[in-house]
Amino acid sequence: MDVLGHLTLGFSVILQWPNPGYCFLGVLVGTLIGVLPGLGPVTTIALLLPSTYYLNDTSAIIMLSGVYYGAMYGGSTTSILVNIPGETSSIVTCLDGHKMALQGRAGAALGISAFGSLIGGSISVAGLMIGAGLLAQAALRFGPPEYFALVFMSFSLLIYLSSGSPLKATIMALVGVFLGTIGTDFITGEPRFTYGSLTIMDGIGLVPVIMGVFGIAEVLVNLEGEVKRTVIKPPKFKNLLPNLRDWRDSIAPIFRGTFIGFFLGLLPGGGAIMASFASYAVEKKISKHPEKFGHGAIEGVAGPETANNSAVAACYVPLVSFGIPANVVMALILGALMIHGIRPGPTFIADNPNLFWGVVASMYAGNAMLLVLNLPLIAVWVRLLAIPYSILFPLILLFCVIGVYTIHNNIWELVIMTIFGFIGYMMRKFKYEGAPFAFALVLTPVMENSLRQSLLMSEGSFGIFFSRPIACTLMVAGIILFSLPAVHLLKQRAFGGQIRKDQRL
Amino acid sequence: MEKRRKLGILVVAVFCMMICGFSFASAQSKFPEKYIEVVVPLSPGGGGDLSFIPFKDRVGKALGQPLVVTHKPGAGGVVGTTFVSKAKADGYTLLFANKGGLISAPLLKKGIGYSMADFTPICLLTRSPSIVHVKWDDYQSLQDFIKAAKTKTMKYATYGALSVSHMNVLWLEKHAGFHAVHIPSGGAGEANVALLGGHVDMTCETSAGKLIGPGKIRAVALSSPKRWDLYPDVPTFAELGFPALKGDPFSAMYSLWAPKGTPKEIIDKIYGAFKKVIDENGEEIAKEIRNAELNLDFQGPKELGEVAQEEYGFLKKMYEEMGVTPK
Repeated sequence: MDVLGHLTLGFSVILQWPNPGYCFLGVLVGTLIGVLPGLGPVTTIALLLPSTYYLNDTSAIIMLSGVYYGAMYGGSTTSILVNIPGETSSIVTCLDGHKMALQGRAGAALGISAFGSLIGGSISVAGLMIGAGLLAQAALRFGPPEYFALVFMSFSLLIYLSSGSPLKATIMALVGVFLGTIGTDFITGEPRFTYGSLTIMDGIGLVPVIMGVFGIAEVLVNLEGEVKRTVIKPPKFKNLLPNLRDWRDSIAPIFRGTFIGFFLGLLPGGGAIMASFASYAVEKKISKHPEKFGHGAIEGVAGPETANNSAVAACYVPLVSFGIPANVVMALILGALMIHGIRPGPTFIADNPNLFWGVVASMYAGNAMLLVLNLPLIAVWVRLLAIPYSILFPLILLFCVIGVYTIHNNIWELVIMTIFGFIGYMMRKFKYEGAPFAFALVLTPVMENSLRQSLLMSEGSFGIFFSRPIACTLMVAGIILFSLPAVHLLKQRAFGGQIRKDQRL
Repeated sequence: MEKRRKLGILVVAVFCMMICGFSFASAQSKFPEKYIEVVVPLSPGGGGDLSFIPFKDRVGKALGQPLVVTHKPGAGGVVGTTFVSKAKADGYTLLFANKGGLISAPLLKKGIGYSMADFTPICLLTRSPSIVHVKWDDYQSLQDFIKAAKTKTMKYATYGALSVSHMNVLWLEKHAGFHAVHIPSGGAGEANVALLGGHVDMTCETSAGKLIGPGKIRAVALSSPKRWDLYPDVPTFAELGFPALKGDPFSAMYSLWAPKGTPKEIIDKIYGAFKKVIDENGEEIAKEIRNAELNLDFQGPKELGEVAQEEYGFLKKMYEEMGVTPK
């Protein structure tokens, strides 16, 4: 396996003009749309797809890939600065990133996010290079029971996303589950709770809900205060980069995030979304000071941001091994390949070495370009916070509206966003958190479908989840994780200790 | 200041005249006078796009105006189809229909707001057979699979409940006398992936392309009336003893339609442009479509109308036999 030779080939491809140009264009566009809330890589790549017809295949894929991981870089910016996620995967970054910004450490958060993304992106590309075939074989073993077990385990981690009352987090998660069932039933084709509306026949869109709950609600909450104020005071220059202590705290989360992101991104069907929040939950669980999470712990930024960039490279594995798209973005990239007459399959890498290794090399180049782009921009972004909120918030609302509308050109989705904006505002007032809700909403369709598919496969027997090794392992892990808080509580009571304040329901 | 003001008024006046000029353009006198929007009711990058792209630029050149593709995905094709059903019948908004949105949806979903009668056919572009796949090592032919299916319960995957691919398997079951458990999968590619991973025993849907080969997936039967040159060794249902059907009702069909009431001259002009492109570049287009693992089947408005009616009738009968009513 001549990886070095292949990499050399790849770099020779990427260094050939116009490829560097397209790589840069891709990452630049990606960063910009990642920063803008609502606008995401899916919409952008869909818009760019027809124009790639006129490019050669390598340049096209290099550019579209650049948009994808560029968006992951950019998504953290708005999350940290204005508490509005630029991407679904950046929701978690809002939790601690914004708190850090409020403490005057926006630069450190942005910096650690950029570096983490670079490290995660680079290592995972290495994984892609070395292990594409093997990993794909492993990913194939994931059938409906394994997916269900994985999501089941993820649900147990949802509680860790909240820094407040676990009961309220559970309630929010259950509400998310309910809303996730709205739409056309996957197995029977029957519409559920759609009331004949075409708009929600495919389910309540994720983006309008998230823009409402996190975007509009954030603006509404901030408007209660003095509108002329700025979000934070402009920081001193030396606070713009992470200091040594930040690095020391972040290095382990970054490495853990890389692996979590990579393995979750391998799985077709929403693995990448789980990456950031699984990383957050893991960091919180193994941290020596979990109570700091939600109040500006840098680990809560370093881990998830690394994970979501790491997941990007992993998403390519199913595509280049079997021609299966791991998520919507990959489906679009598959579309771009097919437009150029390339139908990926098990022999894709061998048949198209220039393309594959060129794209791999472009990921390294792109990640480096992004670091160079983003670091100096940190100073610029941070200045944004000094704009009076009375000017900033209409812009935020404008971008949310544009972002939601561009998805389907459907005005009803704006209505949905507004409704959830008010719901989100109520949630804030009563201290119900949005993150468990958002992830439950995303995960429920996967969970429900894989549950029902599994039961169909086993003809009704729940044993299927325990008779298959991977599924069984994950289920047991999930059960353990679910019961841990209860066990902990019982232990404390048994030994007569005082219940800590943060463990009260 | 006086002079500036006059200049400003002049500019605004000219601007207004330009805008009025555009809206006075008569649609029929010299069709097409501006770009034509072709609505694809699916997400970008799918079979619809691949069927249309070989034609897009060439037909645009033949007509003298570009064809612009807009994607309006949702509800299996219903969203985009609804959009065109309400559009002005002036030939500037066309529907690149998939079977799900145009034919199945009115049969399955209540309150859709359109039916096939709301559209005028222009031309058929691709009709690709549904293919039955099994694992390479397990079975050599469809008969082998059916024999096994009669003794133990098999699982099969399709790309959706009540989809054309699901109907295909139910039809096979009825005529061969076996029954298997249906596991709906997420989309066109996912069923074949599930088969590859061994989670199901059979799939029946669009081509699996590169996944076919020793140790992986085997194609064992086609839904078309004649064999397909992409899979020369794979027999058709008819060859295997199933009832011969008119046309290929289980195929994935992509065709072009206009809203009802579009003037005949415009329809003829558009069809004429497509026909010209096929006559001149037929070979190339066939090759591009074949590369996308689709089957070129170019037919005119009358034939398309007949095919669509036949398939509608066939599916309607199947749904009625199953007791499926619009919801």
